[in-house]
Amino acid sequence: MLAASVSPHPKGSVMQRVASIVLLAVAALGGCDADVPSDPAPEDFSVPSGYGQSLSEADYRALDAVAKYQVATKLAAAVYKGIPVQDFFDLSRGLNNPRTTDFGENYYGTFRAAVARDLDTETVREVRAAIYGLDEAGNPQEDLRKYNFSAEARPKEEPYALIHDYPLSRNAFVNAIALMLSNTILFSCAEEMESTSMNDCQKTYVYLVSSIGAGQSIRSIVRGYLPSIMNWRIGRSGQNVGVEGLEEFLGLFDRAEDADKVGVACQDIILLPEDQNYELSQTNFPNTEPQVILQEDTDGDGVGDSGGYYITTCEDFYNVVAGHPLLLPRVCEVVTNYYLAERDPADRLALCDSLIAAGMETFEDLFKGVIFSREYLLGTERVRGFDEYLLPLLDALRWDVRADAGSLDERIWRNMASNRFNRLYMGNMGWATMTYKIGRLPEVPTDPLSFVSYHNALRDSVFFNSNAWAGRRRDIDGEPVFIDGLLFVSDEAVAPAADEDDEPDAHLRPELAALSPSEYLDFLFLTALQRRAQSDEREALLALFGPEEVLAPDVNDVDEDGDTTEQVPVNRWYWRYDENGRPRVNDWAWDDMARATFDYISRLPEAYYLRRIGE
Amino acid sequence: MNRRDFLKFAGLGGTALYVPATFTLDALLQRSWAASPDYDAAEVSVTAPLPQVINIFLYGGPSELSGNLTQIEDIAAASQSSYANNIRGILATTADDPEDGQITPRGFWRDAGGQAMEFLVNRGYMTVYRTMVKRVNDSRSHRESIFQAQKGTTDVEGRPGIGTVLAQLLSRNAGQYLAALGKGSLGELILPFVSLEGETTFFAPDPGAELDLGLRYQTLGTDLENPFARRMEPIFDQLVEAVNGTQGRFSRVKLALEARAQLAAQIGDIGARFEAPLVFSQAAIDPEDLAEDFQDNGDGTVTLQYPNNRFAEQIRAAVTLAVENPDTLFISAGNVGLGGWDDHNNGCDRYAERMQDLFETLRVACKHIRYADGTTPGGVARSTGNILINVYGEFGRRCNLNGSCGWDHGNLQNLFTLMGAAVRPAGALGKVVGRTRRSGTPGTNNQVQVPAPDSYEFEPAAVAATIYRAFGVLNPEVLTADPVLNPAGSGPIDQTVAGEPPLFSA
Repeated sequence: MLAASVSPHPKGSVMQRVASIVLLAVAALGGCDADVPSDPAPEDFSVPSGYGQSLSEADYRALDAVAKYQVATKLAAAVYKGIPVQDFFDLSRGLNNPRTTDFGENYYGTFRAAVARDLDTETVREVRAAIYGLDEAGNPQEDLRKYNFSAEARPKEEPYALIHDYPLSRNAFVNAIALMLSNTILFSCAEEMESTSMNDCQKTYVYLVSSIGAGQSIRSIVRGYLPSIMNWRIGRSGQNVGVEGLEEFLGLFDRAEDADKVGVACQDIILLPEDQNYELSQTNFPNTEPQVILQEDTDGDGVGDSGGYYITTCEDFYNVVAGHPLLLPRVCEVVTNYYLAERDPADRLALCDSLIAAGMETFEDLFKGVIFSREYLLGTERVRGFDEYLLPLLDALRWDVRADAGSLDERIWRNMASNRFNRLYMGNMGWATMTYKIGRLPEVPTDPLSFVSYHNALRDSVFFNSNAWAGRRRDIDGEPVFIDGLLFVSDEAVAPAADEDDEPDAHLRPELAALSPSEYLDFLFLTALQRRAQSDEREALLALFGPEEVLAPDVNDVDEDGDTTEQVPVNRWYWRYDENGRPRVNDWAWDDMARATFDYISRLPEAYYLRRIGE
Repeated sequence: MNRRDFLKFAGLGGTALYVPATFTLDALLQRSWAASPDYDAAEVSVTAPLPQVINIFLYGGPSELSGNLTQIEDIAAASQSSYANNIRGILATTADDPEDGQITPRGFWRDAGGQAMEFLVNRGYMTVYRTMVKRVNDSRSHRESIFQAQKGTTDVEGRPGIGTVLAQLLSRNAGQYLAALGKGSLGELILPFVSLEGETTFFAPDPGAELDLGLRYQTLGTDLENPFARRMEPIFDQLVEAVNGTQGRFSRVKLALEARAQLAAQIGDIGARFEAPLVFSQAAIDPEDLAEDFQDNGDGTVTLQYPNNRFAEQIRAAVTLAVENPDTLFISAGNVGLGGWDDHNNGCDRYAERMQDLFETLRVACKHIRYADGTTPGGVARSTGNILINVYGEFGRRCNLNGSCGWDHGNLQNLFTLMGAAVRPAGALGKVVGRTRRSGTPGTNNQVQVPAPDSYEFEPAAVAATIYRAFGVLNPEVLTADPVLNPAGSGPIDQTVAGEPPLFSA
C-alpha cells in the first residue's frame, strides 16, 4: 500500500526498483501489530569474514590476560558497563603474571550471550521499583528512591540510571543503543532548540527503546520517526523536514530543489507557533500535484534529468527516505563515525560495506556488527566520551550510590546530564546529552576548556572522592550500614580490620591483602587504566610512596601553573617492609595510595582512550 | 559528482553506494589535503596597530530582515503567509505609526534590534552590509555553509579555519608581526587566539602545517576564570612527561593537557584584569552614549551595564578579553549548535526578540570598547581603536514567510561590522551599504532577496579576505582561492563604498 503511493518516474532506474522492493518490506514491517510479541531473543548478528569480521571466541582466548581485559573493557563500555579487576583476574595468584578467572576467560562469549537475552520481568520490576522508589504496592515513596532526578530534566537523566542498574542484558544493550542514537544527528531531540521540549526527549528515547526492543528494522524505525512531532519540532517547516530528511538519513546534501518539492508535498502539515505550543497541525488541503525528487543529473548540467521518485504527500516522502538504498549506509556511517572516530574515513566505509553485505537490518545488528568487529575491538583507538568513561569506571570501582559521597551521590545522573553547576556536568565538556541539534560531535571535544572540564571531573569528583568507592560506613535512618567498595567490605569474617578506631566494620578485601605494593599498584593501574604499571612508573611511584625519603617538589609551595623550584624531602610511608623484610602496604594507606595513584593516572593522556590492542 | 560532493559522500557525510568506481578515496583525500592555502604566496606588509577581531557567528543562518525591511512591501505581497497578520506594524514606518510601526529610518526592523542599529550606525560605531551573497557556491546546507564562512573559502575540505590561517601567517612572518606588536618573540604572546564557543571551525587545523602550542587556539569559558590550575602533586607531571615521551600515541589528549598547563600560567598572570568593574568617569562619556546603559554611581563615575540576556555573557567576555589583553588577536564567539538562528518557524516571535537582545548587547559592547580607550577598566594603558566586531552567519533566509511562520534557508545575508576605526579606511563606519530586491515566483516558498542589479555585493569569503588584509596581507585572494570554483579568490570588502541614504528622516 505504501509503495503504491510512491511511483517511480517513467525514466526509472535500478535504484527505484530496489527502493520499491524495500518499501514493500517497510510496509509489511510498519504494519506489524503492536500486540504481537516480538522474538525475545533475536539471532545474534555476526560477520563471518571481510573487513567487518567479528572477533571470534578463539581470537579472544588467544590474547594475553591484560589484552583480554582491555578488549573486555572496550566491549563492556559499549553498554556503559565496567568490570572490576578482582572479578576478571585471579588475584590469589598475584598480578606479577596476571591470570584471568573463568569469568575473565569467558567474558567475550558471556557478553555476547547476555546482550541477546532479555531480563525476566521480575528483574525489570526490581530495577524500576528502585529507580522510581516504589513500595510493595507499587506506589512511589520519596524515601525509597534510589536516585534523585530533577523535575525538569529527568528524561535526560534517567537513561543513565536505567543503563547502570540493568544487569548486562539485552535490556541494557537496547537502552545503550537508544541513548547513543539520541545523541546523534539522526535522533537527537535537540533540547537546545526553542521549538523542542524535554518531553520530546522522553518520547524519542522511549520510541527508540520500544521499537529497537521489539526488533523493528532500521527502515521501520526511521519511517515511524519521520512524521513524529519530535522530528517536526526540529525540522519545523515542510521544506526543512525535506532538507534534513535527505541530509541526515540519506547523506544527500545540497538538494535545495528536492527539498522545495518536499515542502510542496508537505504543505498541509504545519508546526504551530510557540503560543500554540508548537503543536503539529494539518489542513484539509493536501497537495495533489505529484513532485519528482532525487533525479539523477546524468549530463552534468546541474539539473536532474533521470530516474527519481514521485511524491505527492509528505507520507510519500517518508516512504522514499525509509525505503531508500542510501538509508542503511548513511545510518551506519553516522554510528561508525563515533565508534571509529579518529580512524580513516575509508575504514569506516569498509566496515559499513561489510555489515550491509552481512545482512544488517536492525540497530541491534548494526551495533553488534560494530562493537564485535575485530577492527573495533582490536584496531581502534579513540578518546572515550565522559559518560563512556565514567559509568564503566563506577563499576570497576565498585561504586555504590548509597555511599552518598560528593557528586557521586543520589544526584549523580542529574549532575552529569543537567546540573550545569556541578563538575560532572557534561555540557561543560561539549558533551551534553540529548541537547545538540546536530548531536554530539563524533570526536570527543578536546579543546582546552572542554577537556579540562572532563579531566577535573574525573580527577576531583571521582578519583579523589574515595568515600564514593573505597567502601565506607554510613548511618542510614539512624542505622549504621557498611557500603562495600573497591577496597573495604563489611564482612566480619575476612582479613584484618583496616582501621579499627574509626571504621570498626571496615575490612580490607581479602583478595587485596596478599598483594605486594607493586602488585597493588598494578591492581590500581588495571582498574583505572587497563594496563599494568610500566617499569619507570613502578620505580618512581613506589619510591614516592615508600618508607624512604625522596626529594620531590614541595606541594605546599606551588604557583598557579604547578611550577616550583623547591625540592623537599617527602616520605609518604604508604608501604613498609614487614618483620620478614617483605614490602607491605600499610593498613591505613590502601585508600591513600589508591587516590595518589589515580591522581597520577588522571594526568596520563592514555587514560582517556579506549585503546588499540597489542601496542 | 564533483570532488566536494564525493568527499561528503565518501567520508564526511556520505555513503559507499555513491563512490564512483573510477575514483579512489585515497587519491581524492590527498587532493583535498593538497589544497591547503598557499601561505608563501601571501605578500605580507604589517603595520601597527594590528586588529583585534571578535567574530560573533550566528549559527543557523539569521534572516536578513532585521537589518533590511526596505523591500518588505513587495515581500509581503508575494508571501505565502501574511506578514501583516503575523507581525504587527511590519509594513508601517516608525514615522507613520510611532506606536507599532517597524520600519526605521534606515530600513531596519525596529523591534528586531532596529533601534539599537540606528543608534550604532548614527554614532559611527557600525556599518551594515546588506548584500553578502553566496554565488560561487550556493549551497544552503548548514555544514557546507558554516565551513565556507568560517574557513573563508568555498574549498572547505581539509582547509584550515580563518583563525588558523592568521596563526600560520604570524608564525611564517614572525618578524613583522612581532615588531607591530612590540614583542620579542611569539612565545611572549598571551592567548593570541581564543574561542569562547568550544571547538569551532574558525580554528580548524591545517593538516599540512603544525603550529607551536603558543599559537594554537585556546577555549575559555565566559567567566574568564581559570579552571586550568592544578596545584597538587607536580612530581607526577614529571613522570607523565617521561612516560609520554615513550608513547607516540594519544596526541589529541596530550595537546589538550599541554594547553591546560599553558593556560594555567597565562590566565594566572592576567586573570585579575578580567574582573574589573566597568567604571568610567562620567565626564568622559558622550551625552548621546550616556543616555542608555550606564548607571550613575553618584560620585562622578558611571558603571557600564551589560543587559541580562542570552548574548551578554559571551559578548562581554569577548570584549573584556580583547580590551584587557591586547595580545588576543582573534576571538570566536557564537552559540554552538544550529538551533539558534535556524528560524524555520520562529519568524513571527522569537527571531525579533533574539535580534533585539543581540543588538542591545552590541550597543553596550561598543561603548565598552570606546570608553576603555586610554586606560582600560583593568588598568591597561592602550588604545582600543583596533578592536572590531563582525557579526554574521552561514547564510541568510528566504523572504517568504512559510506556513510555520518562519523562513527556510536562503543565500543573502547582512554583515554587521562594528568599531575598529583605527584598522579601517576612513569612512568605513556609520553607513548602510547595498540594495536588494525580491526574487522568485509570488505565492511560492522559494523567494529570496538578491542584490539589486547595480548594488555593491560580495561573497562571504570577502569577510576572511578583509580580516587578512587588516593583518597586512596585500593579496588576500590567494588565501581565499578555490582551485575549482574560484581560482582568483575573493578580495576584501571595499569599505569605502558609499552608504545608502535613509528611507526617511527620523
